[in-house]
Order: sequence, then C-alpha cells, then structure tokens
Amino acid sequence: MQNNLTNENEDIIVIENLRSQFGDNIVHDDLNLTIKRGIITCIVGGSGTGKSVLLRTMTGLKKPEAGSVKVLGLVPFNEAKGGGLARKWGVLFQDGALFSSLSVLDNIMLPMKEQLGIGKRFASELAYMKLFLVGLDEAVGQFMPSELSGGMRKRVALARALALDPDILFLDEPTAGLDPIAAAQFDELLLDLTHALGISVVMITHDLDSIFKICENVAVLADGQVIVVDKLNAVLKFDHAWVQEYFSGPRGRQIFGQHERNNLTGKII
Amino acid sequence: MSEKLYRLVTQNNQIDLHLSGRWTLSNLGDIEAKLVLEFEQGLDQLRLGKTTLGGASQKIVYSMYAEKIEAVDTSAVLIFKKLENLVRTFNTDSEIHYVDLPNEFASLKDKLAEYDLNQPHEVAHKFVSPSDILAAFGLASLNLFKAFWEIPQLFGLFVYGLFEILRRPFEFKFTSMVFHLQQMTIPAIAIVASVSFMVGAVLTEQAVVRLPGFGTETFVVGFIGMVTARETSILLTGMLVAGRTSSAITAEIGSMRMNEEIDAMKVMGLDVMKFLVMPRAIAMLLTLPILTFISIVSGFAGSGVLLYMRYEMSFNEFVSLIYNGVEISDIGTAMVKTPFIAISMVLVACSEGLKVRSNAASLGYHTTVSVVKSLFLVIIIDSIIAIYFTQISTFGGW
Repeated sequence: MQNNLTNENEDIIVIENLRSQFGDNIVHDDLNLTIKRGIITCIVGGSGTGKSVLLRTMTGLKKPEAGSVKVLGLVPFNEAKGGGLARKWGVLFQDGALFSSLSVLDNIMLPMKEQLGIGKRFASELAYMKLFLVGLDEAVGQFMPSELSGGMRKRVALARALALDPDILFLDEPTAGLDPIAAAQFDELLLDLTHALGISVVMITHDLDSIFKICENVAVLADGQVIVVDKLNAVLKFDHAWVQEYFSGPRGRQIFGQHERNNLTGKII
Repeated sequence: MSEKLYRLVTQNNQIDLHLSGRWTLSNLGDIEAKLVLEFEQGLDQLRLGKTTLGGASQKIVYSMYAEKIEAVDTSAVLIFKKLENLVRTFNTDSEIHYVDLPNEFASLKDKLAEYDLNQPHEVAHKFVSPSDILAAFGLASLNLFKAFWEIPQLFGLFVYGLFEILRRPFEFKFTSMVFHLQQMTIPAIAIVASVSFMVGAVLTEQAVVRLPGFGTETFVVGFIGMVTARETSILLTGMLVAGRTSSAITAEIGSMRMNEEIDAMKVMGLDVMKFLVMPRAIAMLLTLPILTFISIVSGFAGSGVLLYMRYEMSFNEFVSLIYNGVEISDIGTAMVKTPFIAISMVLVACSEGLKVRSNAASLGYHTTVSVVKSLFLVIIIDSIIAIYFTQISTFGGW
C-alpha cells in the first residue's frame, strides 16, 4: 500500500540459515523462510517449536545466534532500537500489551506522536478513525486499558499496531482467549482491514478456524525448521506426520469439512 | 519534505487539487493543517467573488487529480474526507470529482465511507488549580491517618492466623517461612551493620566535641551506648527494613495479584493468610530482633573504633565503660519494640499488596504507600513504647 509501484511478489521477510538457542537448548537450526508481500501468512507448529521465538527474532527483540534475518531488506535486531523499522511494522502482542497508564486514545496516538511528531489534534483525529476502523465505539477512546474486555483490548491493540499504517503486521495468537464469535469477528476484521489497507500479515495461530478462513500461505514449523511454506491446500497434502495429525485430526477435519461445505454452497464465511 | 505534495487552484466556480508524491502519514503531519487552511481560504475567495442572491453559497466543482500520487494511506483518506466535508458544507449540491484514483485509495475510501467526521470528540481535560493541589494534600494526609483504622483489623486477622498455627502447627508453611527469613535477614545484615556503625561513630564524635570539659569521652560512652541500644538501633533497622522488605513484600504480592495468582489460590480454597501472610509475618517477627541486635553491636563498634582512632581510648576501657553504662534493660527495651513494629509493617505491606489492581500504576502506588506507612509506623510505635517505658521506670520499673 505504501508504495503502489512495489511488486506484489516481492519478498518482505527473508530468513536464511537461522539458528536460535537458549543455552544448550537449540530452538531453530538452519531455518529458512521467505514471506511474500501483500498476503496473510500463518506460522503454525506444535508447542515448543519456537513460533514465538521466531516472531521475536523477526521483530528484533531477540538476536539470532547464527544466520541472517532481513525484514524489508533491513536487519531487525539492529533497526529495532533505531526505529527504522518501527515505522514500517505493527506488532499485536498476545494480550495486547497496551500501556496501562495511558488511555486507549493515548495508546493509539503514542506511536504517531513519538515516531512521526504528528500534532496532538491531527493525531487524535487519526486515532478516532483507527478506532472506527477496528469497529470500536468513539467512547472507548477515553477508557483505560484495565476497563476493557478481552476482545476490546485486542481491537485496541490492533488499532495501535495500525497507527502508522504499517507495511507489515505481526500478530501473536490474535484470537487466543476470545470466544468463537468474537474470534470469528476478529478474523473477519483482519481480513477486511488487511485487504483494504494492503498490509502484509505474519501471524502465529493455533486457531484452525482462523487458518482456514484467512490464511493465504501457511508455514509449518517442526524439528527446528520450516518444513513447508505454501498455499493451505498444498500444505494439507504435505506428507509429514505432524502436519497430517494437525490438519486431519478430528478438529481439523470438522472445520475443514465446514469450510468445504460453505465454499460449495457459496456462502460467505 | 522538500517537494510540494499538492497544488491548489481556485478559479470561477472551480477548485482543483493536484496531488503528487507520497501521501503517507510520515509526510502529512506538517501539511494537514496548512492544506485545510488554504482550502478554506480558497472557498472564502469563491464566496466573496460571487455573492448570490440571498447570500447562499453557490454551487462549485471540486476536482482532485491523483494521477501523480505515489502512495496513500488512511491518514490521507482522512484529509480527503475533511476537504470533501468542507465542500459539502459550502454547498450541498456541489460536484465532487476524483480523477485517476489509485485502486488502493478506492478500497480505503470504501472502508471509511461510513466514518462520520463531524461527530464531536470528547477530550478529557485535566486542569489542576491551586485549590486542587491543596485538596490533594489534605486527602493524602487524611488517607495516611486512615491507615490506622486498618491496623486493629489486620492485627485481629494476624492473631486469628496465629491461633490457627497453634491449633494445627504442622500445617504452618515452615519452608516458606525459612525462605523469607533468609531473604529478609542475610542480604540485610551488611547494610544494617554499616549504617549503624557509621551512625554510632558520628553520634559519638558529635557528643565528644559538643560536650564541654576534659575527659568527656568516658561519660559519652555510656550515654551514646544507651541511646544506641534503646533508640537508634531499632529506628535505623526499622527504616531499612521498611525500605527493603516492606516494598518487596508489597511488590511481590501485588504482582501475584496482577497475575491472578491470588484469585487462583482463592478458587483452589487455599487461604491467602496461611500461605502468604503468616510465613512472612513470622519471618519478619524473627528477623527484626536479629537485625536490631546486629545494629546495636555495630553501633557500639562504630563508637569504639572512633574513640580508639581519634581519642586513643583502649578497647578494654571502652568495653568496661559500655558494660557499666548500658544496662541489659536498654537492649531489652529495643527488643520489646521489635515484634510490634515487625507485625505492623508486614501486615501493612501484605494488605497494600492485596489492594493492587491490574495495572502497573497501581502496583507503584501501593508499593509507595506501603513503604510510607511502614516508616510512619516504625516511628510512631517506637515513640509510644519509648514513652511507656520512660514513664514506668520513674515508678521503679525498667
């Protein structure tokens, strides 16, 4: 979105031969992953396969032990402090990570004011618009984060992540802890917004509903590596014990069946 | 941004806005207000140029040419909506043309089509007047004294907890108590000892210099020894413990509360009093006399070292002077104070910790309150007991 001339197939994140370890515990070994612009990429994997570590590495919170990580051609660990990439990405943490001492509006205005020096009036107008975009009422702006429900907190955190109209949105289990209806609404909101705003999304999720509904590409983490990155249909056919168990287990089959039926009847899900 | 992002042309009934460059938030912060102002001025010119009958504004044609635009984002859309709004307010029948819009812009505009720009935004004003400051001061002072209403209640809970321990002694969390005792005592020894040593030395030096006449050192030893044993030791220890242990207890229990650990304990039927408060209370009950005793000995040592170095008093002479000047009841008085101070401090610290709500600011607030109340209690309890003992000693008691 930020640049109309950019190639849709451009690689926005390139990870090569990444190794992450904590002491003797090697989380990733020789991990390679390329993420394309303009689509929603889900990272899935069993517990302890290092999905969160990968996200922390991509957002510059953790330094890789070996290998190279490039986001928009820059090295996140070096850039995170300088703020070069901070203007180009938005990160939605699992519990929102809203600043508890600031009101909702101030939370959304903070990156605009601090990163870009936008004036208070214009910033507050923009912040109200972001609240509208994530489907929240005007009045929520004056709330404190502790007064919000789980679903609202996620939406406010999304509004803050979108504050600078980022190129890339990183999401850490966006639907975890939401009820199925709220989770479905959040999925729709994400799909709607990312397409309207033209944002590339990288999300970690365990929610099979989300994966079937909104993910265009799926990257599967297992054995310290990304074993496959492809369209969902291709990943479903991928021959690996964990992948098959994950997607073809009872829950996976049920949800997949629903989506197939919905697709056949042309129902919009 | 050196290049101009827009060119505004106003003529006859037409406003033409030519856009170029990157219309993204990083470039728009400065030009937003300017563009809106210029646009309004342009509209004013049109109004002046052609006064229609009845004074109503005439129909105008507003065209936005976006062929040279390189990028747009939501903030740009907000500005365009503002301009559109201005045109509509000028005359509702005006024509609006968007020429050569990029596709992205269309999707953004659709997304924001229903967004109503004119809704009033509530802005919270936080104005502080001098009277507010005075009121805040008064309230804070009242709150400090209100703390004392809590103490009997907390003390009642503590006594109840104590009876519970006596009733089922094997259920007392002994391991936890030992852990806290270690945490409260061992790291505190160095700071208590060094501070007491220095205060003992300084008090001695001051007394020797200020009191007139020859050989005052010999009188000073007993007097300073008595002051150290009865007052400075317990005050210094109490303050240091209030600073390092009360705050730690409050922060620890407070963060457990923020993390819903306290709620988890409650639903599991685990008694917070038994698991969290009593082990800390008993540990504090034991640690304070230990630290106070260390403080007394260090105070004497400070006094002795100073007298040896500055006034060449021998070690033997100093010890015999202390032995004659300080009675065991002086140390006893300090020790009698410790349980009262220990229990009040630990109860206040725990109750403040349990009052923490789920945000970082309240953790900070309650930790501060906990330390302030603890310091206050140390001095108040010390004074009350000191006065009590002075009074009974005149009737032949201690």
